[in-house]
Amino acid sequence: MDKFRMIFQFLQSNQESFMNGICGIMALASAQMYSAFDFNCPCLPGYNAAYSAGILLAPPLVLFLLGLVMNNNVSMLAEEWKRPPGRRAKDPAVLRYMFCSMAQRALIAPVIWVAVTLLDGKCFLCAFCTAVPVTVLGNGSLAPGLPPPELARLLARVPCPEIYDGDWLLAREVAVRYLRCISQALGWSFVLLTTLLAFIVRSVRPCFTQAAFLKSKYWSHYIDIERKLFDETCTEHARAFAKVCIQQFFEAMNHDLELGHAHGALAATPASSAVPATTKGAEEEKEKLRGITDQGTMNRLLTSWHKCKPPLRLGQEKPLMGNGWAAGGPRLPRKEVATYVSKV
Amino acid sequence: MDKFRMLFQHFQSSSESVMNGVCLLLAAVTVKLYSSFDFNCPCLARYNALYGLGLLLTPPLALFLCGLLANRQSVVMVEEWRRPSGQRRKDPGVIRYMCSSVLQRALAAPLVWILLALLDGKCFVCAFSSNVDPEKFLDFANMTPSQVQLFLAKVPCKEDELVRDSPARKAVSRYLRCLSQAIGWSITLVLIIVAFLARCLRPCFDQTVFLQRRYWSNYVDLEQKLFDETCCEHARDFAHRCVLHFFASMQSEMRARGLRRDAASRDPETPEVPEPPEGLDGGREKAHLRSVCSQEQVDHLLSTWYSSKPPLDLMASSGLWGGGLSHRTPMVAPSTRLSQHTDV
Repeated sequence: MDKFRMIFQFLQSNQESFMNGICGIMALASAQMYSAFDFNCPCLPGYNAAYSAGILLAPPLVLFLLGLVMNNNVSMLAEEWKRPPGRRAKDPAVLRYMFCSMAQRALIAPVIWVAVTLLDGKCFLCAFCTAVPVTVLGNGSLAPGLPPPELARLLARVPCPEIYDGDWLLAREVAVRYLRCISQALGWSFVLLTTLLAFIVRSVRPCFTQAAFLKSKYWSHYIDIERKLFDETCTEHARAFAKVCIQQFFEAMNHDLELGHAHGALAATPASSAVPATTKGAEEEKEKLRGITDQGTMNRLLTSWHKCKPPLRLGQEKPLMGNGWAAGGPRLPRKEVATYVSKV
Repeated sequence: MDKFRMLFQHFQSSSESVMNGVCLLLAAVTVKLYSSFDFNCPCLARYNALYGLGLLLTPPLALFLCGLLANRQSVVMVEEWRRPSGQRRKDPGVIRYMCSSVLQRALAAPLVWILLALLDGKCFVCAFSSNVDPEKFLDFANMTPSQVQLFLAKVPCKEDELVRDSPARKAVSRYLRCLSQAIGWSITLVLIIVAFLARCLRPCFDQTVFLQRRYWSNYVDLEQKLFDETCCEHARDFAHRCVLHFFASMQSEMRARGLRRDAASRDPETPEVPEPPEGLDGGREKAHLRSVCSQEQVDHLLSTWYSSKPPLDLMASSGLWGGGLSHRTPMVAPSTRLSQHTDV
């Protein structure tokens, strides 16, 4: 029981902080991934924009989905959404709360990636180098003389210093500075916008439906903890089941061998010195089984857990299944009736 | 420190957490392995593709097999698959569940390697440099086809005399790396979408069957572990008794020799039979292991465990819950006992 309580506290205290921790790790990983990633602009007219758009958008999508996949609550949300109502009604507000909180945490790493990409500038440079205003920044008089494909080919090589050959038209440094400056401005605006949005959402929310929010938060935590505890209990049960099964196997073997030695010395052994019927260890294991002692009953229990979750009301004594198995609610004390029989 | 211990215990508590830990460890090892590996493209026409593709595909295969080896559950699954039915029916669904979970975890490290290799680009450049279409790059207009092929084969080697400081080499290299990164990111995106959909949509299909299979696969794993532990315990007891027996017999032999030597000088005394040490140890030993005390019996026990596992029904197979051996009805021969299963 003590161990159970320790585990329970651990799970509860760390439920929020665990997900926050994962979120923080993914944000750091996102920044680290960007710096480790070797940006490689193709410097070809048709490919630049596609490559840059891919690098700006695909990794954030991957990080977002990864954030959702790593969050155990996704499958919990899907389970809660798809389960039959049974004896416990489903609350769409709780589902919405769970989804919002997961999505918020999963959005942090992609936002970091986009911000870092824009602030660094390489991606923007690669995408928009062909759109630089040559007439303003470079030798404007020479630009109209060039056919557009040739101009595009020339400008597409701006991000690649080792193969750029258009210095006579436009100094590479000028174009790079210009585009990086715009990219950084966009980056900072993006950071400001997202921070402002997050701040507004966080501060304004208590003005609306705070009571409903508290309820949704409580029941969403409850569902999460209940699922974890159910898994823990199932594992404990499986362990006790296995222990008892193996113990019985050895005892059966023991019994077989003793029967085989019917003419030997062991036959004279009094029964009391043989297997002790109940030791302290066996009692504990028996308790842990909670009366579920065969495969069929266990399967019924698991089915019933999904199809017909118990109501959120403790203190029920009614049997939940036909064979008399009841949930672990407390039993009411039985009324004792004393009958006096007169001897007269 | 206490929290660390609790965390460690928490992760050790279920076999799934242990497997996840092993999987993550293997993925970390893969990253380290890739970054410390010294890539060395041969830059010869026919060998490039062999080396590049070999390096892209062989280490993942080795890592996959390592992943299977490192995972205890793969052995448990094969044992469960190949054992005779005996008194316990086999459930193909449970075996499939175990197989899929083992495969998923074993695939993580190979995928990490392949994705790293593609995002880095060296393998791809080495393997496909000879297959690039020279028409895309204007710099090859003045070269004969054989010269072009030679040049392309040397593209992966920056320091080679033929291609050093050549803008054409840089252009081709850039193009291939960009293609490699695009393929890498696409594969990552596809995988993560598949993982996300699998996680979200699983509760929509057969959730009850899934819960049952998860429980029983965990049970099989735990049972195997506990059986190994019980056998170790038994082996220790066996060894203990064996050694004590040996000492006791040595002692009695020496006494007997000593008495015979003194028989000429002294009246023969009734040799004292020393108290068998087992009588002292009897209280400490596990009583249900008492009768299994020879090599043949241990072998018989182990082969019975393999060929005829006990049924998953503790009440039917026990008879020991209520009383001692003397109260038991004679045991039915195992082969005639039917196991009770109810498929829900």
